[in-house]
Amino acid sequence: MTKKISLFKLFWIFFKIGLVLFGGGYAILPFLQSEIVEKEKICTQEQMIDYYALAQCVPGIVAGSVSMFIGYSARSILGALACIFGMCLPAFIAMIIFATMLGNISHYPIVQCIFNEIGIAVCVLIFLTIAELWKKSVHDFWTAAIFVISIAATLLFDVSPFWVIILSGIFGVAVKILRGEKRAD
Amino acid sequence: MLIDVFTEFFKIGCVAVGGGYTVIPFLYYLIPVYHWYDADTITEMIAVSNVTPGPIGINMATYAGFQANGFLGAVLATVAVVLPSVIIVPILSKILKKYKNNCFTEYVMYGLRPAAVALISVAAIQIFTSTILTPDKFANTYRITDIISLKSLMMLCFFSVFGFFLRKRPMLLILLGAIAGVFVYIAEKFV
Repeated sequence: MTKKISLFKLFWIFFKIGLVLFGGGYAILPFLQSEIVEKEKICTQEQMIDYYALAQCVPGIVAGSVSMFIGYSARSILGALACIFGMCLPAFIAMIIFATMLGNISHYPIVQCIFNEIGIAVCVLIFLTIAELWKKSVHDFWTAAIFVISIAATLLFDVSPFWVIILSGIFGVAVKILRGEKRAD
Repeated sequence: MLIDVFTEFFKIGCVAVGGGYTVIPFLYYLIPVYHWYDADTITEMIAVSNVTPGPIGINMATYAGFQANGFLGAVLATVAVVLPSVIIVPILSKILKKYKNNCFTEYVMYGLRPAAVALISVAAIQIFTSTILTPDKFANTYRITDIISLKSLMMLCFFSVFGFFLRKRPMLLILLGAIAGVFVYIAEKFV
């Protein structure tokens, strides 16, 4: 399942992802799916979802935490550092350039046009990724219930993602124990 | 001064659970304390972060650090804001590795996965409404055709078709988005 990957390779993959990442933490998933899960096979799709869920609950930037979880699973602590460095570098360089030279580029009409179209592209990518992730995570009555309740809680009642993740973890354990499922070992 | 930049952004990194936009209220909180920047700069910062590559939280830390203390401030603010997660994620990963085959971990993940997909879906619905739909216009006229502009609808169809074929190459789709943006700009300006 996992294969040894060089630290520079890890850095390079996340540097590339950092370059094309527009939007919040969720925007990283289509790239992880194609680069990490399918192309390099560093982790499985389930692991990717687990890391995304855990990243919602730890302090810090979601995209950064997800990349560190993946880096750690591949190459331990140095892997985590290579990933976070690669992830932050494009953002850092871009902001320095804008702060020192370009000023507020978001006023230019051409930048707004480009960003609008990239926004639509990101949106399409996220929906395609959701379709992909759905199979592995929503597969019976209880997981469907958690899915629907979580959407309603965040969208209608503005519950923070932190509590959604914590409570569904507890809910998952409760369901499994109440149904008396025990593993053979 | 530099030590202030570091400690303040380290604190932000500790409390900003859930990423990017949770950083914003803390940036406002710093204004009266240090006068590194003003409220207008924050609005500008958010706008620039949105159109620059990289996680928005990192963008904003770099920009705010730069306003506070130049290049060195930017480096320190960026390092400080990720430092809490750099400490916590490896510890959590180690614990996770140790209990990987524990049935309890499996039960927790059974509950976590659908919730994580739900959170991603909520994000998708939100960016769909904000980038593609025009709910404000619809609220004014109540005409169903006003909920989406013809241009956005065309672009949505265009990206859906290309997205389906390029789903293994998402980076290409982003590049295609940028190119399409240039064409839309030219079309709007000269046609």
